[in-house]
Amino acid sequence: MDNHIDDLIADYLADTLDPATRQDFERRLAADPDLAARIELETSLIDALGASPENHLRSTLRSIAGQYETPESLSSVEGNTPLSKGRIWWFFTGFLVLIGAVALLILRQQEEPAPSIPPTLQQESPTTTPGAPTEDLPKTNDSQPNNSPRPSRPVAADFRPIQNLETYIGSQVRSGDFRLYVEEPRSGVTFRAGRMNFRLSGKTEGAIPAGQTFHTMLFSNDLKDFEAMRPVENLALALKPDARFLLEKNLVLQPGLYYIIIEEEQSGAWLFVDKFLVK
Amino acid sequence: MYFIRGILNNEAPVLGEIYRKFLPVLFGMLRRNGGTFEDARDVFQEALVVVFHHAARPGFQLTAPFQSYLLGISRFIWFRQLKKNARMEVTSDLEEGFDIDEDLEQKIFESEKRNLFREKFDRLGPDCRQLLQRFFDREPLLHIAEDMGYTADYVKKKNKVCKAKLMELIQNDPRFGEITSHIRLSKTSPDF
Repeated sequence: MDNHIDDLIADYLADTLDPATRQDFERRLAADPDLAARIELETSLIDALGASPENHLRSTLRSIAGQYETPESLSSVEGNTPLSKGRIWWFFTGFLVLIGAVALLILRQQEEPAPSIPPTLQQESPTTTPGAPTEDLPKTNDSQPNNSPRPSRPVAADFRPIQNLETYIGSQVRSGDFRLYVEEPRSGVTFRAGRMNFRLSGKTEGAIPAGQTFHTMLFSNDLKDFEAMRPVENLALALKPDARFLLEKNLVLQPGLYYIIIEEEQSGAWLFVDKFLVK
Repeated sequence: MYFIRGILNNEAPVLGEIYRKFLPVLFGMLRRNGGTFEDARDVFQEALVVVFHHAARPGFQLTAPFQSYLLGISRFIWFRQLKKNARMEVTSDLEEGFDIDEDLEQKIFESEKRNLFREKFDRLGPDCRQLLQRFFDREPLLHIAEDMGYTADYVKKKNKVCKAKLMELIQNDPRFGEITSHIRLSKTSPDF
């Protein structure tokens, strides 16, 4: 293309052509696919390389990504977030629980063998039963008689945690307009394997945007299922007018490590993450 | 729309939260498919830019959990890279997950095209890069000329030469033809 057309293109893109010339140019553009392709390419170049909201976003993303040079840095930077206080408390609590669990398992170790069972949830009943009597709840005390096979080695060793989730446990994940508090199940509870009425109850505080809905996902500790977002159970969480919630479901639990995630349906933001064991 | 809003508004704290929460998951997936942490960071950034464009459309509604959506896009981007580089076979867990519809696919190809432009732009000499960047940022010609100590005519000529070089680099790359054919196909596909 000659200099004249180069100048015309530059002026057209800079929007400095007078109306008559612009009209002529656009007529030419409509009849000449090569010229149209060139204008399209030059416009794309300006969009891609000039100042744009995308490039502002890229600049922010680059600066955030710069904090994470190695996989390990993800957890070290995270330690500086406001969540870290809660996490420290949880590490401490977890440490105490671990000592107790190890002592208990040492006592049990010599008793009976157990198969290695991948954690799964079996649905006992397809319906939730709001308001069902709580007397049906299994006791979570390990001293209760247990009909399921007992492990021949420390159970916890088989229940490998999902590291990406562990860092969120024990914290109210999302801060903002509202918060969600889970009262039941208790944090870190151990359920007895077998049939149970799973209950999730608690309350919300703050202003919940209209139309906002929540769901509860139960994941096993299978990392692949978590990455593919395949929960073993996905239940809608309905809020009552008094801002409380109660979800009940009859389930058959097999031994394993499970995670509870309460998520905002619309955004996918996690509001609550916790785990429980089934032995 | 907590995360989506954070991306659209370029909110650094929310973007940081997205990195902390989802980048490790993506890294886990990529690692099993021959990817490095650096690959994961690059793919993750591209996926966030795609979300930015896709979610900016009027009437956008998220129909899946955010994690599935973001990681689905990331998977698609990584899958394309693997195919292009023919680095290895893709394992089944990388291919499953969130379905990428045509509209989203279009955004991904457009993002790929912009990346190709950036890559070629970076191959230009420093003078050309500086000059073109100012033109692309729509700085007035006279201002550029005055600032760089050149005449306006010289700046205009230099701009033409640099732009021609850039376009030549882009058009001679086989990826450009492949990406634009995807975009054209997508544009001309009938809506069902």
